[in-house]
Amino acid sequence: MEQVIQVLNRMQADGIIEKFAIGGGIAAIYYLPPYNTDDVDVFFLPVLVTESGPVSLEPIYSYLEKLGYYPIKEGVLIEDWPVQFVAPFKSIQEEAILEARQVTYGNTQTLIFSAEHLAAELLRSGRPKDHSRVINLIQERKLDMRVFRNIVRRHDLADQWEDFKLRYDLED
Amino acid sequence: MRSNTIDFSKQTTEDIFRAKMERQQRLASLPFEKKIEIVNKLRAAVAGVQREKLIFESFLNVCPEFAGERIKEWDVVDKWYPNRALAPPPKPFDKRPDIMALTVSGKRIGIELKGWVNQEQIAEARERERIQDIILNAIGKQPPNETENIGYVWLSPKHVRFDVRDAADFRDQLFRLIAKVDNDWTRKPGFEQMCVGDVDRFEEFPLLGKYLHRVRFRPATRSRGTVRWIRFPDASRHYSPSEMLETLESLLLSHGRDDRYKDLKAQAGLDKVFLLIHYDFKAFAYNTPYKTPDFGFEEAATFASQVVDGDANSFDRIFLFHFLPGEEAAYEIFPDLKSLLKR
Repeated sequence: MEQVIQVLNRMQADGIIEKFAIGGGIAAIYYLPPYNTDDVDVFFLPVLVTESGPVSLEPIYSYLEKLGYYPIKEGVLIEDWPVQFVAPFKSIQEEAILEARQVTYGNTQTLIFSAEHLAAELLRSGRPKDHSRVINLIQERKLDMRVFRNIVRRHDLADQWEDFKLRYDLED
Repeated sequence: MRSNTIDFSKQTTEDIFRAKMERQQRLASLPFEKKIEIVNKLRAAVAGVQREKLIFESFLNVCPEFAGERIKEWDVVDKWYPNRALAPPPKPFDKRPDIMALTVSGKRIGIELKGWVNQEQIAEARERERIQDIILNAIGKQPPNETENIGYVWLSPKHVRFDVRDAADFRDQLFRLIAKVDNDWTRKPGFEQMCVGDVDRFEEFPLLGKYLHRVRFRPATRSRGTVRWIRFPDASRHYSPSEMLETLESLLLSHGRDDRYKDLKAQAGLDKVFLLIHYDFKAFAYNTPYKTPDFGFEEAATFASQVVDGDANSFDRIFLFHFLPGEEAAYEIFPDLKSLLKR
């Protein structure tokens, strides 16, 4: 994993991406007990944003190919880890990158979604396994609920949060 | 004297939930690196289960009647109990053997899978590959060979951790060394120009010295690589086919003696327990061959049968399966030695 982070850091230093932060399962594992996860979700801010069309992953893929890392399924296999690159398409994801928490893995620094942004993004994503992680984060008291509610409100997730509370019988 | 023994009869549901919560909290507070170590073990376990499924599927395809009759249904043990809403046997028998099957006549059969592989050779080869991959990544895309005198460059890496921050300078120093050797080549005496030249002192190129034992230059007059012309020496070495036969022998003997299988039939409610030894791509790719011109898979099966020598302890049948696509073959080596081919 440290080598994966080093490659990502190098990619950022070489100007291929503006900034990145790890979200998804690996970010959840940072806060929760470990569980099996297939890949590393890397949310990144592209260097150039075009006015139309989706952000191209081509610069990332060709850069990694030069380093000997090749595409696999939806991502790129880096040092035995399938890494999926996600350009933010929702304001919550962009803010999660910008306000990510700095952590150290081995001797290498990286950014990981804050617990509150991670929970809000999982709430937005809405798959059963995402909801299960949100419940885990709440139960394990990893969330500052005031910060979390603020994020939920600012990113139009209030309705989803209300549904979530009802469905899982949670108190606010 | 205080005793630490837990009386399970006095445990309440709350105790169990509290213990579970405490365990969760302990796991959640592990260092990130430790958690990822656990994730890696989980990933390997999942991959292992998928692999076991693949091997048994192929074996069943080649020998549908290996059990003396057709198989009605089967599953990897992790799925067998939950998929059928069956109560699993007590630990550790809930995870053994690797495959559970039901024959058409209703017999419950367990199959333990074991790879015929030399783990030491694999670990050595994988470590070598890993280091080579890191160095190739550092070099990046190789430019065409435009040297005058050099056909190939062979790198002998040291077993040290490569810092990716060194990659660009490493590449730069390597190509500067190649250019220097190429320039100096024609200054060597004529006969030396026909021979390989080694560089193992790297005063001007400290990063090469940090990561490489030696760089060997092969003259272009012998042969010339154009695309992948920077390489690693072939890892092949002198070997004896008996190395892999010794691995097979020790595998059979250790499984025969293994007490973990002694009560398996009774504990897991099985009628029969079989052992399926498979030779697969991992062994083919990383281990020294067992084959010689006059010794093949059939001879290996005969050898295995002689090792078992009519005494398989806990196993009712033992099979040897050659699991290479297009080259599948299988033998029963206990109780009888016979080829198992799809009829």
